[in-house]
Amino acid sequence: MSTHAHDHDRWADSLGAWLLGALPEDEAEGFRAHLDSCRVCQDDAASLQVAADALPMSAEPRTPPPALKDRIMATVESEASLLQAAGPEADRRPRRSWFGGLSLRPALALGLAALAIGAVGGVLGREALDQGTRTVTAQVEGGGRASLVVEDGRARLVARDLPAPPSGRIYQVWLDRGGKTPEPTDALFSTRSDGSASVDVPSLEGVRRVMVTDEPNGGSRTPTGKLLLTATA
Amino acid sequence: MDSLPAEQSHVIELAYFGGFTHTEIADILGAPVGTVKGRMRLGLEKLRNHLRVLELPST
Repeated sequence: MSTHAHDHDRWADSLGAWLLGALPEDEAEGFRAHLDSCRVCQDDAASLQVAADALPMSAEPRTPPPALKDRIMATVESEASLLQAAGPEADRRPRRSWFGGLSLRPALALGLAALAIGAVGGVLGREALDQGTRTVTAQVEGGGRASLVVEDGRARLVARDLPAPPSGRIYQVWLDRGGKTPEPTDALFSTRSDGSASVDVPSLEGVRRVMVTDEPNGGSRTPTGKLLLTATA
Repeated sequence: MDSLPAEQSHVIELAYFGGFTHTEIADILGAPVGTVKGRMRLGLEKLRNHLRVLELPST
């Protein structure tokens, strides 16, 4: 088997993950290096890019609250000020990708925009599916990502790049059933060293929102800490 | 996305909208990484084929 064929066999099954931005950075670098020299993968990538580009449109449209426009415009104006301060160098176009200028970044940007609209709109992410399985993307305050994976009546909160809870405190899951205060759960968790975390969430029956706050070790009966994330159940 | 089997749309949503890597998704679902990557590719292929059908001129 030639070196190229061996290289192709190694990377061919990573194409989908690469197009979805799901390869860890070191693997993504390796895949891009392979892609530069593999015509088969280039053709496959060009063929499947249209599907990845269509993903933002698969999110259900939501009516954003008026505050969203203010937040977006504040960000735009802030970035415009930064670009102006950076001078003409900031206007230089980024290096184009290898296939006809199609780039993964616009797709991801659109996806993130759709996610942001969904998040601020209240229903976070896109509910998936039949067969009792769905995924809800949470709105995370202050960085990181989290999703609520609901499967066969069980729910699990999974997250990455979360800040560690403050010293002497732990993250606690709360269930909002529309009452005056959210109900406490015994779902307590901290982050791993890489910022990831996962915790099983009690039954979501009748639950409107799942929330997480930082609380003293052992948890609280009512929320006392800062809100970390919210997911609409 | 509604046209996809649940296991394929699930991994695509976790990757694209959730921002999780294939290894993280494998952990979440308790599935081998190879299976997750395969579902991603199959899902994208089905989406592409679905889009092609939508683009066909009506007769």
